[in-house]
Amino acid sequence: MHRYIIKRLIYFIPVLIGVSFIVFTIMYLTPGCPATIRLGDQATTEQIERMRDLMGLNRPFLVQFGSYLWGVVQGDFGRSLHTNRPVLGEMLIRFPNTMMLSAAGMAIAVVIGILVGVLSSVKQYSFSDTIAMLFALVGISVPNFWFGMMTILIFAVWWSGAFGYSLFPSSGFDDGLRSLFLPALTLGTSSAAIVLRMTRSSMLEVLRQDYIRTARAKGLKERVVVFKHALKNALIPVITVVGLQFGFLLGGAVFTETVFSFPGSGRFIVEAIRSRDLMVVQGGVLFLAIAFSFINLLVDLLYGVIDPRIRTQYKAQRWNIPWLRRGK
Amino acid sequence: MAAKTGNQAVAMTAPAAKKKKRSQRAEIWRRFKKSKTALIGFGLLLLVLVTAVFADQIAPHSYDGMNLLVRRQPPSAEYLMGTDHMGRCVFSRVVYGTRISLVVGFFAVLLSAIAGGTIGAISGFYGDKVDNFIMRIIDVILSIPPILLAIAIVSAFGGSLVNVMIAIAIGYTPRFARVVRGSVMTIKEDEFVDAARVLGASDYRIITKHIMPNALAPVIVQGTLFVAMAILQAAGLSFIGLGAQPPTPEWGAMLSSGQNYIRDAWWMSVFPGLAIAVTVLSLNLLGDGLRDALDPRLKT
Repeated sequence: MHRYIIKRLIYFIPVLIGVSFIVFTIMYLTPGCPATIRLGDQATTEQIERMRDLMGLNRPFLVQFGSYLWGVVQGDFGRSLHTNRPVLGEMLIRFPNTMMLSAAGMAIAVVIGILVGVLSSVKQYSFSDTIAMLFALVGISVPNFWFGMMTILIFAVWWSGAFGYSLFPSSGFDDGLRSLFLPALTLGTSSAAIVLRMTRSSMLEVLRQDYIRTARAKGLKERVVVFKHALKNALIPVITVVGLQFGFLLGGAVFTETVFSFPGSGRFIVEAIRSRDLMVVQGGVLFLAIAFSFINLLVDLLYGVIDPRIRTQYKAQRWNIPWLRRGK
Repeated sequence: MAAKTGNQAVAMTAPAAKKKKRSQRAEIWRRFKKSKTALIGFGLLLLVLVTAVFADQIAPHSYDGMNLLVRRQPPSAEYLMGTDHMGRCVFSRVVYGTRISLVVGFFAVLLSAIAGGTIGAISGFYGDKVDNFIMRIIDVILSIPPILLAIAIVSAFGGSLVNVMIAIAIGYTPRFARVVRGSVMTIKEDEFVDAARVLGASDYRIITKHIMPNALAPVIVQGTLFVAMAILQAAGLSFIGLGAQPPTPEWGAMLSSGQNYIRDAWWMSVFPGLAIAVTVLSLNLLGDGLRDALDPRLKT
């Protein structure tokens, strides 16, 4: 297991360098001179040239990337062009809110996705299965920002029009968990659809296995067969999807936070886009991309804990036991 | 005599091969037709395509014709989906928006299919170090969520539909590369590839004439699903102000302005979103149907 963890941590380093390289290259190719942007249109050519020297813009591409990467390693994700505040600090203030929103969205996705997925697989081709699959298709087809707007329309606007009070707040984060419900539902719906599809197909495969037939032949209750024997084995690919989806929710949060004026890092990036603060956009994207990679790393490590085959594989390599390696 | 027999054999095999090819297509079509959801998707997509092609005839008003006297009017016989804050016909804008979304989605995916297909074919065909090198680069690009990559690219180069298309294409290129690589790696082991090599065909000819035509099925299926995702992404980018610029009737941009008037003019938000959902749903249904028809083993 340790070998697996170390190997995955080593793989993480080139990914981080690669992600930084992509973001840096985009910044490097951006039209317009950063020195001019910083000094304004009134600056003279000499002043701009001095600023270019100061900012290191006259150095070769790879040297610039090296110093950028060194900065990133030390937590320097750039500074806002408008406020001159460090991007990392600003992101770190808002990121816990985004994580909380993503976690709540994921919780909704997992509960709906796995429950409906199991029911759907147990009753394959039934009416309820058709409805579940329809929900899954609609879930992945509807843009989440539009779904968010519709929840505001129904639960805040129309509901308050009909009953005189709003069921859930439609913006901000002042009302605790109630404020979290609509954004989390919005963010989690498409992931619920994906988890549902994966659970259903994985369950269908497992339910056809011989050991399930054996469990039934032993006279076990259907509930025990489905939840104890089938679901436990069907969950491994579902966990991978859940992990990947959690990372994708960070990207989706950009839209959800904008719709609900939620004070997270996604909305911070959108505000920077609207005020044309390129440094914040690039720094924010780099931050979220690193967070996404880090979550993927954690999922991989968790996968090693959950799936005994991975542990056995690495144990076998460590002790060099041929029969154990063959048995993986 | 022997030569004559050989010629007869060739003459016999050509129509037989054609017949076999036809029957293979017929078999795919038969499997596709069996799926009701795939047919519904196909029908819906056809409707969307017809709307895009005949937008000039279908739209009752121009998409940018402003009339402040009728701003934020609810749906009526005159304005089927109401009017927006500038007094423009929402229905006409939704109809014209079909063209933009389809063009952006289709061309973004076409670009990425060409680039990703080429990279995937090279990687899968040559394998070894070339494959390892290309795959590591692809792993890195895939470690950035496509929407974040698109935001970084479009915010750097300026908000426009062309930049949106390129940004989305860059995000999907590694995904196509992976799909094509997988297919090429399987197909290159087949005997007909060995036969072509023995006949002296160059690598380029083997890849383009023998391998790629056989690797197209997964590309078509993924392509259909990616067009759906690309349309969602393009709408998302326009929603946050990075895509189409006013007065272009792009669905995401329409939703962005509709958001400010959701309490007073719900129709400004409901109909463009429905248009996105129907288009994406049709492509998803079609993609699922095509996947089941082209490779029934994947059907669950």
